[in-house]
Amino acid sequence: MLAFRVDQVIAGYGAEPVLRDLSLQIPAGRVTAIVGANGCGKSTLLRCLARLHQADSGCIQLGEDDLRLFSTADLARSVGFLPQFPQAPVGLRVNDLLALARHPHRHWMVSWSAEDEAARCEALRLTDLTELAGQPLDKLSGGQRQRAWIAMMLTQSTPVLLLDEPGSMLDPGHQLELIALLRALADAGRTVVVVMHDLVAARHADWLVALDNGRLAACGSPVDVLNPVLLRQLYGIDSHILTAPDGTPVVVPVRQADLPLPQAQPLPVSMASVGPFAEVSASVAERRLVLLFAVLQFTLLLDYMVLMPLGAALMRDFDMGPARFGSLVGVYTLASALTSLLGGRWIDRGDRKRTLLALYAGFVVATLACGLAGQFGELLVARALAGACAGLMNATMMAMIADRIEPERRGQAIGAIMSAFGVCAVIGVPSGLGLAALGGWRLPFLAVAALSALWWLRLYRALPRSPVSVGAGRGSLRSPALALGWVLSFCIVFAGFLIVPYLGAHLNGTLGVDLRDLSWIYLCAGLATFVVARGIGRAVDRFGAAGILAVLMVASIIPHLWLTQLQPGPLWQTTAVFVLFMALTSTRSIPASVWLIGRVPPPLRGRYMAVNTASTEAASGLAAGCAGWMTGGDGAVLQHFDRVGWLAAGVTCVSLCLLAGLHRFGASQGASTTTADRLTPVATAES
Amino acid sequence: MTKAARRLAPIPLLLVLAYAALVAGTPRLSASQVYAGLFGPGSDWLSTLVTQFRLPRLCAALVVGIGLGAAGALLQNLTRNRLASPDVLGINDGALLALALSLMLNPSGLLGPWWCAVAGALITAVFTLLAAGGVGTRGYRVLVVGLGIASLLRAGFDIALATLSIFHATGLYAFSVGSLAGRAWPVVKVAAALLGILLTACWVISRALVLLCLHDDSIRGLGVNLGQLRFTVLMLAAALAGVAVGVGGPIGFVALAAPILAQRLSPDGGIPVWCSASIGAVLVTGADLLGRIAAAPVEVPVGVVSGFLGGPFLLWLLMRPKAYGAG
Repeated sequence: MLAFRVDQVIAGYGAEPVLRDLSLQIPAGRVTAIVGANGCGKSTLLRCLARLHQADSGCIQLGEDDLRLFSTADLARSVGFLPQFPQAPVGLRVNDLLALARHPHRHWMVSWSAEDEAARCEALRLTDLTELAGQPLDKLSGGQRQRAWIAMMLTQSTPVLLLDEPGSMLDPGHQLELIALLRALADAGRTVVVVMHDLVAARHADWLVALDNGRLAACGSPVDVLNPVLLRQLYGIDSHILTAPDGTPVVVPVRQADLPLPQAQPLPVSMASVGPFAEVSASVAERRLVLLFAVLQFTLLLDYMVLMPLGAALMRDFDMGPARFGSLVGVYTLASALTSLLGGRWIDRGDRKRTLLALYAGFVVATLACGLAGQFGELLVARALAGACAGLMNATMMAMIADRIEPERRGQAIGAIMSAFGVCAVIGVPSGLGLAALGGWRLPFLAVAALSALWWLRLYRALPRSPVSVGAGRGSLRSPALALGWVLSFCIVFAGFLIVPYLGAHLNGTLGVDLRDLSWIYLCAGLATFVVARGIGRAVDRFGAAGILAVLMVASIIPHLWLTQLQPGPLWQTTAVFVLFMALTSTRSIPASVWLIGRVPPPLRGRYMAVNTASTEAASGLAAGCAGWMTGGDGAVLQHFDRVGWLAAGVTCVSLCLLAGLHRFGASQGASTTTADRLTPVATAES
Repeated sequence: MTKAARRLAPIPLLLVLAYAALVAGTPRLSASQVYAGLFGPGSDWLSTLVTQFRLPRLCAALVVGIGLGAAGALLQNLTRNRLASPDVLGINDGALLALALSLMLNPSGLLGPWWCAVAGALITAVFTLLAAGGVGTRGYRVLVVGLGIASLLRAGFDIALATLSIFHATGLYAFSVGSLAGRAWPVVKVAAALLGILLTACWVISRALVLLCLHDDSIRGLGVNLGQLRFTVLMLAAALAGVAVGVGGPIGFVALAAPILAQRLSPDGGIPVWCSASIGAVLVTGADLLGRIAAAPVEVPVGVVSGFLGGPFLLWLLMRPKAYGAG
């Protein structure tokens, strides 16, 4: 019977892991001692067993099940943990301390059940504390207090007990008493795992796990495992091993080994680790990164999207016409495209986290300035600054995603980040407009600034440092395969933006949709985008980015043509086509981004994505202008909108051909998704 | 005395003070007059005086006291530090600043909608938490960061005060000292309802709250999601303090003193929230009563009285050698 099976666990607190690829097993119903020198990872292993520390990779099984699958309450009913220095407030009585340990068992309606009382009495009896139950903890002696803490663990009624150096503060008499207690508990069927650095005590254990610098040095019963070679490896001491009258080995240290250690022979491990290595899903760190970026993206999008509907209020306040208002939108796009083109050289230098935080700080200032602007000129400058920062931030974010998330999970990550668009449309913009109705058009911008400032702090704290590898920024992007990637994203965005900016006018003017219904239709589309974006992300990881991109492009041709040629009909029909169009068109950027970034060598990613942003910004601007020219662009009713649809479908077909060509070209060059990631910086610097 | 009896000790005192708050003042009423004013039959002026002036003010004092006392106890349990209180953490100043901002945006009422204080308190708490990057094991980090944020927000409030009209600025300044003058039923009723909801939430988490006195690993080992619990407690404390500030302004020292007194009443374990809430109610009701009768006919704001009595209390606290949670 096994209590724990530890399989290839890597765990640590920073960049340097404390446990390095550790595999071992701990038997049930026995006393197991974990020994080793200071800082070898004993306590970390114990905390991992209690799930107080998350392993970076590998798998820990408790009984038959993966430790991660336990609910917190179930785990608290299965495993008890006693920290090395437990703490309790002054004046707390032993009885009350024990009562706290019943927390995982107590029903929230029942104040204190008979079962609770029975567990407490049993724990007091086992630890011989019944007479002292009414005493405050701080009035007890050291040995009594340690017994009280163990009684607390027993009250928790768990089959597994984990203790971190429980004997370190006790004199030899109390230590022996403690060991006898632990033995009695194991004999009664409980699994006891104790971290110790005292080998005198460790010999009483049934099973010994010896760690050396995060790796397993030995694992087995003390009689088999304890020998001078092991002790030399663990502590750097010479020693004699004697046998006590009861048959247990006694360690007698002789002197500090003064010679440098010879390369120690790996000792035979009594029980080889077996069992399937559980597949590690997206780790906590990755999910956190995605969440950080999704909210960041939300603030960027909210600032961008909320401006349009505030147009009327702005035009009134600043006494300007639609053209000047249009220049506010234009200057944002222009600044974004320009800085993306020019800032590319700078973006791949140094730490990406620092770059992102600097840009985000600029964005916060820009939105704040936008909310406080008194004149049109100030507003224009603020919008330009916001655009300048936002453009480069998108590129940096994409580069960080590619740096830190494996290709096979990038689709999901980028899908989650892009779904911020849906959240923004469904929740962000309406609440922004609600704020504007409450306190004027400045309030939404101030709110975005405040939210961004908050998130800046969060990013500052939580975002991992992300240094760009050596040779970053050097190397050339002048490969036709890479450059054609920009053309591809240009085409994709161009096709979408031929139609998107004129949809309001199309639905309202041509199809006769009421303005109030229009906002609901946009809400539906936002919601659909949110759902579809996540699905597409998953599909990209499953079936590959290029395939999904191709499928999406083919599929989006249908709503392109359908929507632009739609005649006035029932509202549900218009809504359905519109939602289909938005869901398919806006999510094309997910496989496109995943596919493009997989083709770029890591040190060039920031620059490449910056130019890519510039290309998409240019595409959106050009497309809007082009479609405006084609439709006559002045009145409420659009003319020849069906021709725009045909053009969009044509451009989509061109990008489809481009994708096919690039994909084949990339395959023949061997520069597929995975190989670009494996390229070393040196190799790319030479190219 | 049993534990429960000791924790209920403030209740009789509270009843006496409540009675005194209805009786005392100009004109002084007798017990039968108060009864007649409350339940009739009595003259119109008597009924108006009791049910429309003294009773809502008493209720306002209770709401403020309970809110501050409970918020203080929650925060001291959370940080394991007995200097933690909503004024030190900047929550009170955030609530006040929110009121000032609401007046800047919409200068129609006298003080601005009181619930803005709750929003301000919550936002400040989130901001403090983010800036400190968590509560921290011993709570020092969040306290030090909170001190910085408190002075920042106070400065923001002073700037906001300077931009307001003189009419609003005067009213808001008097309020910023902490005053219950003129609080009437419409505000008090809604605040009391919100307080009820928040106290219910406190009751729901009360069992996990007791565990906060243990080592972090022990708490998590008992099946508690520690991060979530800490966040909930902080938000509850901020909302409670926000309600109190919205009704009575940032009355100082109550949230600091009530939990410490509660712990002296029941010195075995963590800080009892309910006991602390009732002591807070005693302190605010008492201070308000004192302020009304001490220099009559002039009224001393409750915040001035509590500050006057709270300063020496803080000194006494700092000079006592043994600190809570040192064990």
